[in-house]
Amino acid sequence: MTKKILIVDDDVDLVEAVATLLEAKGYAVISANNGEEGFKMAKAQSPDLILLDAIMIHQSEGFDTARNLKKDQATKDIPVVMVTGIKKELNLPFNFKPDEEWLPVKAVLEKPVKPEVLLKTIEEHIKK
Amino acid sequence: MKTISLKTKIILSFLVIILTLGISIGILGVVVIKTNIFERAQQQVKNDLAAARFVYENEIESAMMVLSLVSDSDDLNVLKKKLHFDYLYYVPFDERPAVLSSIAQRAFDGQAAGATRIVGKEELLTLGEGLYDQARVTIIPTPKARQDERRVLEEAMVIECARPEYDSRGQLKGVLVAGRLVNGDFALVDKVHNLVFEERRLYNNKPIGTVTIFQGDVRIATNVLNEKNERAVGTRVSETVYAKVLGHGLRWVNRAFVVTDWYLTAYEPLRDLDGHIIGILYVGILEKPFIDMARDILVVFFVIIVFAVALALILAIILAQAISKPVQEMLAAMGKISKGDLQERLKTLTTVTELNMLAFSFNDMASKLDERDRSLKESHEKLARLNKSYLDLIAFVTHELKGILSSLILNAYTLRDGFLGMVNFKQRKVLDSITRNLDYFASTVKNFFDLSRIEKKEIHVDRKEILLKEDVIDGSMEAFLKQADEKNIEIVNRIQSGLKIFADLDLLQVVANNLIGNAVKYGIAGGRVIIDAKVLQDALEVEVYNDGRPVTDEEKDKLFKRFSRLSNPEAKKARGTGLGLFITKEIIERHGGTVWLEAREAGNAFVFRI
Repeated sequence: MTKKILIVDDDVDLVEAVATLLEAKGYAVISANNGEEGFKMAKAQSPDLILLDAIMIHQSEGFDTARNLKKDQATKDIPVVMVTGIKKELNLPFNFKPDEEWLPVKAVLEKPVKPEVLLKTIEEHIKK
Repeated sequence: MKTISLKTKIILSFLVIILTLGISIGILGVVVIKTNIFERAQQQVKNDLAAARFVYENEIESAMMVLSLVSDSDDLNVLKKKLHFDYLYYVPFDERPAVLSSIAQRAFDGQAAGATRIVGKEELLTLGEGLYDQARVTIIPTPKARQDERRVLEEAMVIECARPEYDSRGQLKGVLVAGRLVNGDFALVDKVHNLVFEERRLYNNKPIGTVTIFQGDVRIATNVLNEKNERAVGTRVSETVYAKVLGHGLRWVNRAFVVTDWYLTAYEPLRDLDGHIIGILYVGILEKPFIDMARDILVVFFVIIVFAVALALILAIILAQAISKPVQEMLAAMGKISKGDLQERLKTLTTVTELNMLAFSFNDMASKLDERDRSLKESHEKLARLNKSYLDLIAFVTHELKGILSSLILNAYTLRDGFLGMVNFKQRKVLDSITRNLDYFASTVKNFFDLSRIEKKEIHVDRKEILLKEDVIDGSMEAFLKQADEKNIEIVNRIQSGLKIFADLDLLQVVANNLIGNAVKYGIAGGRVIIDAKVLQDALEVEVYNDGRPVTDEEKDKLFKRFSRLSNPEAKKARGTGLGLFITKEIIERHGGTVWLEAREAGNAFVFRI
């Protein structure tokens, strides 16, 4: 059965690049350009994994979306992998690591991400 | 060197001058008093002695004159009393051999004579009733006086005169002899005293002028008083005077202790007719009045000197104040200026021209400094604005580039790694070059991004206890393994597991990446990269070594500067922004540590200590 992956990112080029790679690897790809749309789509289509950009229009859009997904009964079990360019951009006073409470995601990838790493992470966390 | 204030120095200098002058004047005063008062007084005493001698000789002369009026036919006993002689007698020519007096003997030779003479006890008893008792003097010991066993004077001193008597034929028939006891004859010394010292003036109940006749060394007639205010008859002369006057027959003029007080004195010997020394004639002036006078003068002197010193001191303080106050104000003003208060100005209206000029120059300097400071601040602000816009530009551009790079890199790798279908050998070679350059591009962008954050002071150092090997070095080594393999470089990690370091994990990662990346990049092919750490007393020293050409000292200085790259062939071959070491240095320094480069025999080691 074809696994479905939802990409939430405001960078259209990146969405397209990731989609191209994932589709080539046999995944079904859907995408959204902001957090709200992404959340709705996740609820509606229940993807097997969500690739979530940390910062879109608002600084905390990715974080908020991740938390909302966790809270919602329909989406709370969908694994989320966060892709971010923010690690060195924000002055975070702690080590940027996944955290059930604060950041309920499975993994954090730093942009630019290499195909091998991306695929490996997806395979690791996607719903079996 | 010990320093003193200007004010103290001026006052001290004045004090030295004043004291020197004061002491000189004081010494001069003492000398003047000594020569003018004491030496003159001493001279006066010498003259007084001559006068006393004259009066004494005159006494003998007048006795002789009186005797010339007496003849052997007169009632000698009656005349004796009238003429104030103690004895008066006639000796006929045929009794001459029994006569003891040398004066009478002289008269027997046909010559009238008068002189002082010592009369022995036996003779004295024959001369008149009661004369021996009248003449007897008990010797009283006094301080500083000569001592011996004699307790009573048995002999007496007399002033005696004699003249020959002739009969009607002009034949010497006998001699008339008359004499007066000097012992206890106070009328004589008082007369001498009154004539010499004019009147009997007293000082503290003591006569100022004193006259004494000594028989030998014992006072037999004197107006010197003892402690009981009685005439000090029977007291004796001092040893020194005795030796000089009685021993050598010399005059003695000096200060001397007489019975109870110090006197300015003059002594000279009294001789009998044959020239034998039989006693002393003495004149003295009480020293006390002169000492008191000298003291009074000195006190006045001293008061004047003290007054002068005080006056000079006040002037010195005023002068010192006039100089030192503006200097102190200047110091205070300089202190303010050096603290940055460039508005400080000095008064230029003191009473000292040079100080006014100095203050004027100071104010001029202060205004110029102020002006320069203001223009510097302006330039600084301009520069800061410029720098900020430059940093903002870098931040903006790198941010944009990062976004673009995200999809670009993913696409390039996806293509290269064949996810979108097989690529042939030539295509693969081109895609390798593209991805390699994109990686370099990404790391350059990252470096610039870090630079902008460092320069904008946006880096926050969040120190935690982390494991050096496990958390930092292992990851970095992993990242560069492939690159090292390509150059056949062996990376050796000698850092022990579990070694803890207190640092910001992310930032230390950047440092490790930079240093290990550099070591691989600039290390010679086939060489080694060695990572090691040393635990020091209160720090940790981490070293990243690579084989290669040791850098020169000159190159070392350039290395840690922004955008600096070495111009040697190895460095030119490898690409770099020249930012990595600058960023490394900034991060280490934000941790309060240091980083440096050590050139080794066949390589270089970057060492940092946190």
